[in-house]
Amino acid sequence: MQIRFLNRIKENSLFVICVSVFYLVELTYILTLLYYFGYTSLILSTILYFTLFYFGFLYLAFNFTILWAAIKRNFKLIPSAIRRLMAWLGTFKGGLTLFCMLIIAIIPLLTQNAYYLGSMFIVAMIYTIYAASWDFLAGYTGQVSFGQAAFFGFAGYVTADRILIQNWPWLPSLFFGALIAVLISLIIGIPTLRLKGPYLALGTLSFASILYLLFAMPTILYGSTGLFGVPRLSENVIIEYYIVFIFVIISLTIMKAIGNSKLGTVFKSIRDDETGAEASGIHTTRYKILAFVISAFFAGIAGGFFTMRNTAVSAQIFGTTYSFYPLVMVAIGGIATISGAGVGAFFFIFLIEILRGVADFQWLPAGAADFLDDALIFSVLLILVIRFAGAGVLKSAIERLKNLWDILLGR
Amino acid sequence: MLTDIMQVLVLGSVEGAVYMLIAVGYSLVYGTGGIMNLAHGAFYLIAGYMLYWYLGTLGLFTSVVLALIIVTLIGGISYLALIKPLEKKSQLSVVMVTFAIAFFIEQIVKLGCSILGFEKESTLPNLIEIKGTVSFELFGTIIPYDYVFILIISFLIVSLITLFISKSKLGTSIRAISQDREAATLMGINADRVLMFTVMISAFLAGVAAVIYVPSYPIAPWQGWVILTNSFAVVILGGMGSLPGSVLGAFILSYASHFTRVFIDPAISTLVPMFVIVVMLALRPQGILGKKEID
Amino acid sequence: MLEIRKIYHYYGSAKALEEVNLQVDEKALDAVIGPNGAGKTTLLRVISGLEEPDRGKVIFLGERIDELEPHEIAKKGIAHCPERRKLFYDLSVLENLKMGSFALKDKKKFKELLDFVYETFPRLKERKKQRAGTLSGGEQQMLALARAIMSDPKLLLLDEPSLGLAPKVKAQIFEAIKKIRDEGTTTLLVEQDAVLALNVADYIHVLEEGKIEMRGTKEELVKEPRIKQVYLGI
Repeated sequence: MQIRFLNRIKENSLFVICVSVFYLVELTYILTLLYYFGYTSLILSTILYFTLFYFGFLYLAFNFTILWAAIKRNFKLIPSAIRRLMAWLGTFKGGLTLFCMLIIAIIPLLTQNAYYLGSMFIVAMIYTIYAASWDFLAGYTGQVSFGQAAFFGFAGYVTADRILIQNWPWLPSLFFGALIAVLISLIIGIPTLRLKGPYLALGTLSFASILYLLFAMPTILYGSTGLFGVPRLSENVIIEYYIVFIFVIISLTIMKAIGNSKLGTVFKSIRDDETGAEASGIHTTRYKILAFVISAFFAGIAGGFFTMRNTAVSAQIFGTTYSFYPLVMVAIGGIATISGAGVGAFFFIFLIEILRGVADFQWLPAGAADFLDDALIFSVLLILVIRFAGAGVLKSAIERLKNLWDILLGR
Repeated sequence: MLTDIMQVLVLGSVEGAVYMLIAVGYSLVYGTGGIMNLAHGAFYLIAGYMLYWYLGTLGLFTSVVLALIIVTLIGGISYLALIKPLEKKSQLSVVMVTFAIAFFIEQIVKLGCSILGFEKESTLPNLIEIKGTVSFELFGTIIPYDYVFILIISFLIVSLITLFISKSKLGTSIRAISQDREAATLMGINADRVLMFTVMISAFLAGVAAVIYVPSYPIAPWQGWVILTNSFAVVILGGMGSLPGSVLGAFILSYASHFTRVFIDPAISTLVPMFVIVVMLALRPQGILGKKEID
Repeated sequence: MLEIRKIYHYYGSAKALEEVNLQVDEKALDAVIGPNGAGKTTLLRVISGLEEPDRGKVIFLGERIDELEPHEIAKKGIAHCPERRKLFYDLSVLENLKMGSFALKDKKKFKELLDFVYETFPRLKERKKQRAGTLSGGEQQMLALARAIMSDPKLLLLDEPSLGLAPKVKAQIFEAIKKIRDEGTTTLLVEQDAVLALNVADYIHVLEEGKIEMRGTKEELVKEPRIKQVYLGI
């Protein structure tokens, strides 16, 4: 028995290493292509990249599963917390998550191109926090915010104000911005969440569009140009990358942990049957407000990072576009998953890049580039996803693949 | 002082009349089907842009008729294709899909402008001209004839709609569905069909509001959301689903925001709708005239 | 006229109806009796299309109707007078009656039915301009019944018409039900008050926990000891 397991470990470790090296080579190849040939090769490389995403890491995750299962059997003396973590990593989802994290963690080692790291990956990671904050509220409690940009933008403004005008360091400014977002969420949340029905949707949407008008006014609140010249987290894009990366992991872990805790169960019971939850003695309003506040906090964190990334903030940030983005990302990645927000955000950024790449082609008929507007395409995408695949596209695809693995593993 | 008061009265009445049209339609759909239609502002937007695009080439009458027909059809199609199939799933997905429709229409408007070669934000010429002039003077305030036209048309249309709802068979079935949808279907009323008509009526009303108001007020793609926000404020003020409430709410909100704009500060005037929403939801969520139970 | 074949219906995993067979003949007045929560209301809701049965068939005048929408079933001539009346409370009495005859195209027939209703329930005529919500409980039940017959139905489904009414008003309502039957309308009545139901119905079905336990005419059922004990309290 022991020998068989040890053999399996040996076999699998070798296999995992081989496959990992293979994919690393592939990835380096693609990123080199990206680096030297820019947009023209982008479509090809992105297709390759997504093929990797879909099949490559699922394949790897499969092997990790077996590896971990074997290790778990043989090392029973590990402390329980680590054992639980390992057990989770041994599951399909855990392995997948770990692999995604590893991929994202090693990207700066492969390319130091400021555009790819900064404007694509860092922005995608910031959007991940942002979309997850929306998913936390909508997925767990069933309350929709159509004005998430209000918190995103307000925190952005406050962070910029602290850094630029009050000369605060970035970390307290970031948290101060998120705190202000929390306060604002209380102002909207308390009157609207007392009521059943989509009043929060209405309140948040109105609030964001009014903030847009207010901040666009020339004479007050930093004027129509907004604030600019906000310093980045670091001169070095790689350091910036890892700071944001750590924040993504912390934020997503917190949100996911809340979702899986007792509190999360309460949230989900409100989502599934508000009247029933109330009848069983849950103070639903209080919990809905709590969820909203947490959601606003993370939206605020994302907003602060976004402002620092862009080095500027203006009234445009309150536009419906920014309230719309998290919906699209979550719809793509799957609602009530939190991690789906990350998949959605990366997909979103890559699709924008592809669209830009296609629009640059010479042979496109005149005027066709207008149709490649990303907001237009994403709104169509969102309508289709809501209409035909309520649970999100990738979620059902991943679930289907998971079933396949389960069958292969004979579970 | 007098001109300031006149300004509040005139602009307040005109804007109030426009919001009345928009909010009556919004309230009608909410009251009948419980549908929170976030695409309502977008209906206004698309009709306004239709007029803007075609006014130069097709003339006033044709472009107005075309704009109204298209916006009514868009209302019907979005109900049939998107809202109706989702209604049975969850209210959440209905709200989300109307939001997506609104966003889509905003992008279509931008796309239309760049394809047809129009500026995205613009102002239209005055529509009404009497004896070669476009305006007259009253107590030192210049009032375009368009304003009078807006008041007449909007009151006319709202009276017709009220009459239609209280007297006609379809109108009575709209009221029946708003009170008890299940009982109404037991009478043989096809609730889906009636709801489609109400969405079409509301889109039509938003379209009318757009074609009469666009010449007096600059249009911009983001304006759909402002219109939507204001109609929220109006219906929450007047009472969700109450048509007289919408009329009352429209004028109160309009006078209040123009009063603060002229006498206090334009920035505070922008905040009036939000203030109304928050305060009304906190103190009297059913609105001034609403009696529908909201818990 | 109406035939229900092996209907099963579940709410989630809770069973409401299990293999229910039932037949109503032309011009008959059938009653379904049973305790609270036995599935009586569900049965009527399945017939009128408000609930889709999980299995089984509903056949009306030789045609399957269980896959139709409620408004289509109403147009086929089934009028359902629902539990707790469900009137249009903000509409006037006359408007309620007009809505009742929504599916009726014939203007002359409408006039006849209105006369019949006013003759049966003179109180409604007095209050025809009044809002339905302002009527008393008994009057509301009369209106609900009147609204159902305004569509000139071939089959009338009545759900607990005596619920929450004073004995005197109950008697009045049941007088009216008999009168409607005498006019030749087939009726399926669901009633918790077994004594009333036994007195008025031609044929009685006993529904318990989603199953038809017994059926028969009044004379047959009265002899059953269980019926005596549980429903008649003798």
